[in-house]
Amino acid sequence: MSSEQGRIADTSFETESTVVVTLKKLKYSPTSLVGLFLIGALVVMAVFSTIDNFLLDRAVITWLHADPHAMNQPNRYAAPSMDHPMGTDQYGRDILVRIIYGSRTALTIGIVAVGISFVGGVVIGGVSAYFGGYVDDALMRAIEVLYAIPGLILAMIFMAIFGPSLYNLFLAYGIVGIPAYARVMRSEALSIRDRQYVEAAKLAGLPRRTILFREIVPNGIAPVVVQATLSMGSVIIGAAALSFLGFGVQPPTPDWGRMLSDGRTALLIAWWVAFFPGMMIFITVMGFNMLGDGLRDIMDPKTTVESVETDDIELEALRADEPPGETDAFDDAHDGSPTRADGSGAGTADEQGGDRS
Amino acid sequence: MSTTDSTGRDATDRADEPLLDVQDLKKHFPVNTGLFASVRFDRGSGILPFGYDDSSVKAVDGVSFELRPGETFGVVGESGCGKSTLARTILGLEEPTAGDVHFDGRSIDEIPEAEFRKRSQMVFQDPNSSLNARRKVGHIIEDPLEGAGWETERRRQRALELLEQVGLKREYYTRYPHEFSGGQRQRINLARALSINPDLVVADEPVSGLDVSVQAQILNLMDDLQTEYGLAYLLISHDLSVVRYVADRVAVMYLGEFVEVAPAARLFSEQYHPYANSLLSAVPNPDPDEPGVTTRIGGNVPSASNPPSGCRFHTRCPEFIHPDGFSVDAYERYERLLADVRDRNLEDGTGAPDSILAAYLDDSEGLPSNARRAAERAVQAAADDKWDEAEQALAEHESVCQANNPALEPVGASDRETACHLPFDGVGSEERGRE
Repeated sequence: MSSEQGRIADTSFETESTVVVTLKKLKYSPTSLVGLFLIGALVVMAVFSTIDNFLLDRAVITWLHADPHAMNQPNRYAAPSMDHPMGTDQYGRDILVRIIYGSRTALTIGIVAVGISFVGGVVIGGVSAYFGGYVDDALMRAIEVLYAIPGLILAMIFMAIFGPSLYNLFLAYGIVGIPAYARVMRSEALSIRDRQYVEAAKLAGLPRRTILFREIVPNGIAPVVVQATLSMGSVIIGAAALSFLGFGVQPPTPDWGRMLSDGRTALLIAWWVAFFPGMMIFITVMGFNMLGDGLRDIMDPKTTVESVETDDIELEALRADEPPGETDAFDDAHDGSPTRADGSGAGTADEQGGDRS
Repeated sequence: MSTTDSTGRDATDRADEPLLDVQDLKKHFPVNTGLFASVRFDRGSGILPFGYDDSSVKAVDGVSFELRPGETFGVVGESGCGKSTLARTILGLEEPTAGDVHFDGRSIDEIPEAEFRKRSQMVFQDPNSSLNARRKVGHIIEDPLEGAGWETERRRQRALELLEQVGLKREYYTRYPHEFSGGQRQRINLARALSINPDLVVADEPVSGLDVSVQAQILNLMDDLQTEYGLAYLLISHDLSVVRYVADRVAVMYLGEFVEVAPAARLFSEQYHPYANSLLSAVPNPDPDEPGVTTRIGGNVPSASNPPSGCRFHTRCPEFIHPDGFSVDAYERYERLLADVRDRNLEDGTGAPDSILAAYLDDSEGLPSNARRAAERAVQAAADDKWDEAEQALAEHESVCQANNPALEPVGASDRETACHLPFDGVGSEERGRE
């Protein structure tokens, strides 16, 4: 018995949690490192501006550069210069500090709203596909009702019900996003539901929620993650539209979306007013995309991120991973080498194919 | 070191009682699901010009057998004959349409789900898709234990033990399924099925996805584990050599029915049912001096949604029983007439009865005179729109293979059952043949 214990200890199971292992693997993926860096920079900006705004009353930022709320009418629409690296807006406020301050709302709205959509969509889509029948019908018809109404109108309805505040904005945008996620998750879960390992789990006598969230959802989550990273940008811009209509972020609180829409009117005389906030939204979306791609590859046990080994790749999996049609030829023509051992090509191998008998 | 569950029963205590008793099990899948998909345009059906299409695929249609503890029961048959559906229905993955499954003396409906899951497990066919690629194999093996409510540490002990038992290393506990070969994955599959120490293991084509050399390893392993734990296997396979190697008793399945059940050794030496005979003669012979494979049956398996009347094999049977006095050719013509009468649609329906009769039967030789008279009567009755009468007249001379579906009945030596109208060794079937 004692020797047995020793051997068990030797094999070092679960010495590290899955999260730690995942984060450690991140260093092998340059894309996700860049993504992580971008997101990290934004988080630092957001945390800094939150502390500075609420605890120190914008003292630090004013000392460093300028007060984001201070207006200076004579200096309106000043072009980028040493004093104002990103220029000033129609009230003469410095755009650089407003961008730093705007990261707070942009990032929270992206993360919280997308988080609500993601969790809600995965749960609703998964449950709908797994239980089927009337549950499926009821949930999907309800989701379609949400889908039928334009997102902005729906968000406005929710804001009108909940009352205009920043938190309700998150909630409203979160709910508006649920249908898209639910449908993606449902379609994935439908194809996974009848796999043999799901049946094996059923025969093992596992409870249905365990089967759903341990066997089905992890195998179908990849497209939903992609959906999440892609919709991050549209949520930030969509929230700006709501702020513009008087819901959500109220002036003079800086917000990228708001700055973007304000700057739009002056685009011909002062491109910088809209350009820099737009750039920041772009960078944020890029960052989330890169990080999301990397995470997806790392969390997939079939993908080796550490080193390039070509022997374990199933052609069928590769094919299934690609959208059908022209992309194949395009990719091959461009990267020259047909083997893509550790890249995103093999990344989602097991969600789509590979297991097909 | 007893980490096995106490509900597992001793194989020897009630060896004479069947562990699994399946009675007249049926599983039909509707061809159309939903109200609107089932509606068919049909002008002849009364008031509304619509009919309701309730046809179904009869995947398993009246299967009965017993499985004793510690026994291996093989089920063989062509692709699509319902073997896998049978396995899945027994384990409750499909809801049976009719029939009873008794497990250890109690009906499956009465046994609590949790208990049944602890005592029956399944080994799947495809070693790739039966393991969740995102979970470590150790955890996969532990699944049935988790379902049974074991604590984590005890589960791990048992999983490690099992890994060793199926010939893998303990270190593999933390690996993922894709790091293993097909044979190793099938071992993991076995380990998962055995982890809870079940009494019944249903193996649905457990080795068909593997190399021949690996097949032997897995089969030997299954055999060893059976000896050790007193498991009962229900082995589904289309591979006759596999079944021959491991099964104690074998059932031959055709279109949702068992046509012959016999001890493996005897079945492989002598078959009563023509289908079993044709199937087993299709096994390639390794002796180079012997002639190659001879196929005795042609054609395709008939549709399971509309199986042939009577004996389901009669459309392909090399030993089809022609009624007394008929020649092969004459019976074919007679049969065509009967089929058309049944469809209420005679060719050239407007013609005189004589010409219809001539069109069908010609001047065939080998048609017994009483059959010809029956045909004459039938055509006359059909002309008068008395279809039932016509059908009745013709059915009198129908082959028994088409008229009646033979039941599985004991034949020849003890412990053998076959479902065929042919008389074997003068045992009992002649009377049935005259019905």
